[in-house]
Amino acid sequence: MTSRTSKPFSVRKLPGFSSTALLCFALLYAPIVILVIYSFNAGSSLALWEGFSWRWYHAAWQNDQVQSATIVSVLVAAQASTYATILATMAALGTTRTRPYKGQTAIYTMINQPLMVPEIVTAVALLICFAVIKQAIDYRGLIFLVLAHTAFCIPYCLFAHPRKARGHG
Amino acid sequence: MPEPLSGYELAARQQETKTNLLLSTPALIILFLAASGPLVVMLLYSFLTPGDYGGVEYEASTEGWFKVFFHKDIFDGTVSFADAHLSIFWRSIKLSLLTTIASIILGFPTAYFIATRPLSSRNFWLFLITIPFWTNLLIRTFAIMEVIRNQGAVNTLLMSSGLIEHPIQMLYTDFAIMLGMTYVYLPLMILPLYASMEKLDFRLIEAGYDLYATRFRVLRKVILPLVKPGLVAGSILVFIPSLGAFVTPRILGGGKNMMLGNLIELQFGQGRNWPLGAALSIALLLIVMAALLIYIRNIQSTSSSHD
Repeated sequence: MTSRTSKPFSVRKLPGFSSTALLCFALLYAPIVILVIYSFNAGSSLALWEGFSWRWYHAAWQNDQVQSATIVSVLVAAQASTYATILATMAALGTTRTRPYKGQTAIYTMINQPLMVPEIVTAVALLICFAVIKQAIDYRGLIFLVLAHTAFCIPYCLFAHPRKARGHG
Repeated sequence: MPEPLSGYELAARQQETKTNLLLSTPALIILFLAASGPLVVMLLYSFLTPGDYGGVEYEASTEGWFKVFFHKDIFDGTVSFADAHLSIFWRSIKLSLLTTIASIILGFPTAYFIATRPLSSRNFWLFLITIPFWTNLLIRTFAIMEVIRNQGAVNTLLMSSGLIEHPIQMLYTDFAIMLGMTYVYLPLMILPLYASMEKLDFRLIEAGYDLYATRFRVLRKVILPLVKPGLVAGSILVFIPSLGAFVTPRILGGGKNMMLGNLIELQFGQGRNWPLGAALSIALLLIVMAALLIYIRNIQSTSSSHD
């Protein structure tokens, strides 16, 4: 018997695939990790480390614009995700685990539509419509932002919904 | 032959369909108000006259569409192709295709790697792919910008190792845009690819090797045809947002290397030509629809060939 030094043959392995995959994971995370580490940098550079400090977190915390923008983001996100989850759950009840009916495909197409249209196109279309409405009723609240985000979130909610995702549909 | 339904059953079915439609109605109304409806309004706007300070005059005009493709000289009125617009169309399509190819080159081995892990650790690797996906696009784009800047991590590393003397200009080039888009849309390639690789029957691959196929031949003749639906789905999911991208080209491409998204944005800002912007958006939508048609055809041909 001669002992073999080469690796055992595996039907699952393809040469170079594992190393490419690991490289891919490293590339996905490196920029984010660098950004996180240097957010604690005492200096203002992202290449030169000048020691650990909370300086930039203090600056962000005390910045009025950061504060108000955060509040708007949280408000819009909380409302839009709540409404979208409710509406998508209802739609999931109406479109999955049911006998196929006329108009089902049309409903899917309509709900899917924001995923198919590039964001910039949806954005300018909404700009056009909301500009007209805003001029007419002179209201400048968050409702337009909430409405737009709700619509955009519905397809994501529907396709991640347990009722749909488990594949009984 | 289905048996004919009794009157009672028929009524029950009609009732069920009615309930189903009613349940979907609220979602459809919101989507009509904030997604489909505005697209129709935008189509109308593309045929109006631009206002002096943005907005529109309510007067029909085909000027917006004319300007998408042609340029009229303001002095002698000669008409020529709008080279600036057409080259931006071309750059957008070219960069989106390159991004899709780069995503396949990186994403295919990665999806295969995850799909061949033991069942217990697969979810962990998938989770690693989804975290960057849920990280804000803007943050990831700025992260890439910091890495490839002249004083950024890559150049600092290369210079301190003595490989180069002067920093390589990567930021504000087409390469930077492509790199950035590949980085942000890569998970969209990996996830559908993984979904179809997960179902791979390795007995078929083994059979291929038993018949003395080389690894490359097994990859080309066995694996690729089986994962084609995932590959096509991933390509579409990367291609469409790349085509309409405007954050990434603006940050990584600087002001000069515009893509379609930036050109559209410009018309609603400094350009003050809303009808032209609307027409450009509809044109972008048409390219996307063409890509989707190819996708649907592909799905139909693969599903019919396996039946």
